[in-house]
Amino acid sequence: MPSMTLNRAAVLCAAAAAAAGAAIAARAHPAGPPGRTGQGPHVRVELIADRATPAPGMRLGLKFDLDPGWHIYWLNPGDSGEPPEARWTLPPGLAASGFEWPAPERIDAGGLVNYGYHGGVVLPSTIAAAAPGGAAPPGAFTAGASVRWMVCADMCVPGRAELALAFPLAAQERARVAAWKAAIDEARSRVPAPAPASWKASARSAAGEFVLEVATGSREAEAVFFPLDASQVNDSAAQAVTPLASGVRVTLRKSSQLVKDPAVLKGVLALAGRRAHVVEARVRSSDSGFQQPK
Amino acid sequence: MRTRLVAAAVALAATAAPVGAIAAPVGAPAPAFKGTDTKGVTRSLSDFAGKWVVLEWHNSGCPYVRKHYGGHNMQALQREWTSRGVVWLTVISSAAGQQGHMEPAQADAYFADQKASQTAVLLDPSGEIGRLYDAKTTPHMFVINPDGVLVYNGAIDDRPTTDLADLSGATNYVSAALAEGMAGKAVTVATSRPYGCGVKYAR
Repeated sequence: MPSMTLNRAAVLCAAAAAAAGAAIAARAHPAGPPGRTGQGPHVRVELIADRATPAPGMRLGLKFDLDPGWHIYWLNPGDSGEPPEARWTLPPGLAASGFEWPAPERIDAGGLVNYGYHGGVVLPSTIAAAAPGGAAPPGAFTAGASVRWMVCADMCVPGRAELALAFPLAAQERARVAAWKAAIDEARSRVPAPAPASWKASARSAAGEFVLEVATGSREAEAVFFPLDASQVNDSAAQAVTPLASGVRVTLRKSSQLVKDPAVLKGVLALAGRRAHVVEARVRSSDSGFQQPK
Repeated sequence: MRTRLVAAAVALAATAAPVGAIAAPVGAPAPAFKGTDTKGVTRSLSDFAGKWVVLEWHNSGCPYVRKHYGGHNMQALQREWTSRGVVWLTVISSAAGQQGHMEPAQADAYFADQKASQTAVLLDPSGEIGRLYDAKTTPHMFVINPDGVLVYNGAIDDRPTTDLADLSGATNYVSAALAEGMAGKAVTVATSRPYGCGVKYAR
């Protein structure tokens, strides 16, 4: 189900983890052994699991709880900020997938727009064999996560935590695992699914704008587009939404950082009723002003 | 004849931008601005015709800015490039009451303490210059060539983090753009996603 979103996140996380590797050691952080919970200014974070005993396909989750008015970021943070990252420590032969990202909110911060989460969010990750056909998780092991994030309101504060969770879970944790599983399942239910095969998406490139049309089979009164790639769409520009007889048109301002039209405009289309799908629209060029300086 | 028509059309596109146009696209003339620096001097982009100009958006309280100042990375860039004739303008678009907002004397004391060596610091509390360039983050960097054409718009480097340790080994896009441009070459990375804190514009 998570397919493309998961793959993208995995790539992003792998690159970020590699880049963060050297940096993490240099960061000041509170001393002490890793625990299941951690905190930084305006943020509490805990490591949760969807079961008490390891099994193939098991999921861990980072559960973020934020002070009112503060937000953390989606995998494309928008105009500013950066997404939370985890570097996992697992037994040899096991690997954690990239996060499954629930559909974000559009957060207006003084005229700039970010994509992220207020209040809190759970970011699930699947633990599986590092290579196809590899071994299942052992019956007893400890999962560790070096977590870093940027939390912002009027200002931004970086944070980090060293978390760990030992399996099989201790009695005190077993008592909470049903609630943890419910939180992970709820987050996964809000991860955008691939667009239904019946949908048709197209994008026309005009001077300074992309005109995205998605045929969903019914009139869509509301829509918000969240670009998956940075530097395609001007995040802070208002999106003009026009309901169509069997779909919706969304007009998007191009990013100032866009030098050449992308072949495909890819992002999450959020519709009324908390429906969110990943859409990929091939970009057709029309006369595009100074986008082609030849 | 045809060539002249095309040239005229391009010029028109660059000056009379259509509704919904992109602010500060690379390859087009950089938006003309006028602002006041911390010494009370009015500075216009046209004052610097014939010179390379760097614009640096700044907020002293932003952790991404602190990485580049705390690690003396930004000051080193300022020193290196101003010594080679580049005009380096630091712009503060934080509105009154917002993080990073500074009065002239406060800004001068702060940048002296930071051992900064930019050409001037422009105070833009109305956000006018920031909006003209669609400056998104602190830092957000722009490079303008001696013909007044914008040749770089984006991040300071390729490590979008607040970690001091990421300064070493980073590819600095501003230095790359200046070095390539001064050598008469096209700028390889002309845009990138600017990273940092959002500019604290007036609400």
